[in-house]
Amino acid sequence: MTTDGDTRPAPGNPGDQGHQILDQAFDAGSLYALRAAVAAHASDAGLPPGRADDLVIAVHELAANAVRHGAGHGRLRIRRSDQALLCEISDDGAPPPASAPEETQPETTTDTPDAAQWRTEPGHGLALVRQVADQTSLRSGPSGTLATISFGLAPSGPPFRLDHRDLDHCTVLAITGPLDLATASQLTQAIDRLLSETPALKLVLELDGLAGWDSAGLAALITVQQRVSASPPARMVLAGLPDHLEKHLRQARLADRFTLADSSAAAAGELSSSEP
Amino acid sequence: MTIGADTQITDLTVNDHACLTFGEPEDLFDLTAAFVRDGLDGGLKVMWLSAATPDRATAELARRGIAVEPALASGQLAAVGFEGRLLAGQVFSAGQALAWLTREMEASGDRGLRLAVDMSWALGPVTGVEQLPEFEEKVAAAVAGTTVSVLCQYDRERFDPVTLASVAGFHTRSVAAATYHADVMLRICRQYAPPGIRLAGELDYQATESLALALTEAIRLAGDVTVNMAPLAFIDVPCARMILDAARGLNPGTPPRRMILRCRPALAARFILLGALDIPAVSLVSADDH
Repeated sequence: MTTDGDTRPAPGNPGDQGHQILDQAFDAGSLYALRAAVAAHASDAGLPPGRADDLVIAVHELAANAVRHGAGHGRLRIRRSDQALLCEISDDGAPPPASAPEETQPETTTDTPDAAQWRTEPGHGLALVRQVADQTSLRSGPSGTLATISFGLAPSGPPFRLDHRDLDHCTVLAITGPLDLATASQLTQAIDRLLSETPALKLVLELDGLAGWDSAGLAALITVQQRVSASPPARMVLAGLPDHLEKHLRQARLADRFTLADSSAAAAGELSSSEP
Repeated sequence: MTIGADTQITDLTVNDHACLTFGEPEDLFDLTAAFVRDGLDGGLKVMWLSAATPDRATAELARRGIAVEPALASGQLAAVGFEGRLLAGQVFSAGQALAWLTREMEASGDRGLRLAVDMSWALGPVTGVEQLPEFEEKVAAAVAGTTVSVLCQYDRERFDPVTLASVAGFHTRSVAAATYHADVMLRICRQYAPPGIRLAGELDYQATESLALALTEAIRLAGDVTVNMAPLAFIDVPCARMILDAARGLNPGTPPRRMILRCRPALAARFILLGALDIPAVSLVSADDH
């Protein structure tokens, strides 16, 4: 079984596999040590704090899957190139059981506070891995499972900035720079201010200047969409998403939460044409 | 998995002379806040003797949801130091300390008194500290049959076992935070003010049994449930989902019950990606906000 996702631009040149910086065996008792090692290497490689946290949770979930659903132990290898950290998590024992970890279980609802009914399906762990990693690949066979994830080491772009302008009776909020753990709260606070000032806000969130994101950035987009949706008739359209971000949102099953437009002009048109 | 106390702090009643043992300042402040809150709610005079400055002590209570200002203004609450009450300089006298307690009991009249005493004063270079067991014995006799309850607070990491054993017998009850998991990596315990649970360290699927028990017990109580993850550095997906599923299962009722998830921003993002904002009962609060 093979699943693949590749959403960030050029996080790794296939011809440049880099050099190995970690080769560590793990089992249930050493997952903490594994996380600590990954965090140290992520920081050393220059990943910002939010991206480092994302790498740690991604490796942990895949390693935990190997422990819980594979042989009970496995091995993590990390290679570092100029462009990316490439992590391979191998379960070199028994293959996963029939209920493969990548199968997301259907949603169920609990009515009573009974711990026995609370879900702990591993599939949700893999869903989160796909949300935070730039590339995800999972190959299962008789000799075990090999999961590969990649985190791009993008050069630092322009600093974070928010700019307002008006366009066809809409408010355009343009994001420049990284939307991440360090900056995400500035976006949510700006949207809260706009909503308090203009209850019937027609907002175009312009993203073509976005230069990187982490899980806190994605969470900020979800948060502001939820706050706008909770304040009708306010509406928001995301405009000018970089292709890799749009592809990432679709693969991470987050795109359906948003209205997308190719450009700010198209977004303003969308907001104006659908006025109540 | 251990439940480390005979009695919960919320079970204390009048004329109890209880011995609270704690392992970290967070426990002390949390349990004291619950003791103070229940006393104020019951209309009692409440006094806390501690090594903390009055400002720090009242700030810690306020941070845990206690309406400190009106209680201080009305005289129902006092946060004070040891000097002139238990100590005269660096000298302790069981007789003089008891005389002070007796005056406070008389001053509170029929209203009743709740007194929390941080016993850390006895760890310092104090003359007469050998009278501590005598003091505890006299307190036990003084509060029996009255509307006064006293909570003596001992740091179990700093007091030696012999001292703790010498005073234990004079208390009517033993109190500590209910602890569901405690090892070098992770601590899961009940939080009393505001009610819920507190998670510290690193939490992964290997502790789901302890987490489930803690959540189940917290949810059995009425009202909102706070999951305090401010001291939590890592949480994996199975545990985060278990918390969200617990929130999903809260009885909507009237007023609707909420689950307040207090955590640092990186963990909040994880909860959001797992669907926290789609659950009406969930309220995410940044641990940076007090």
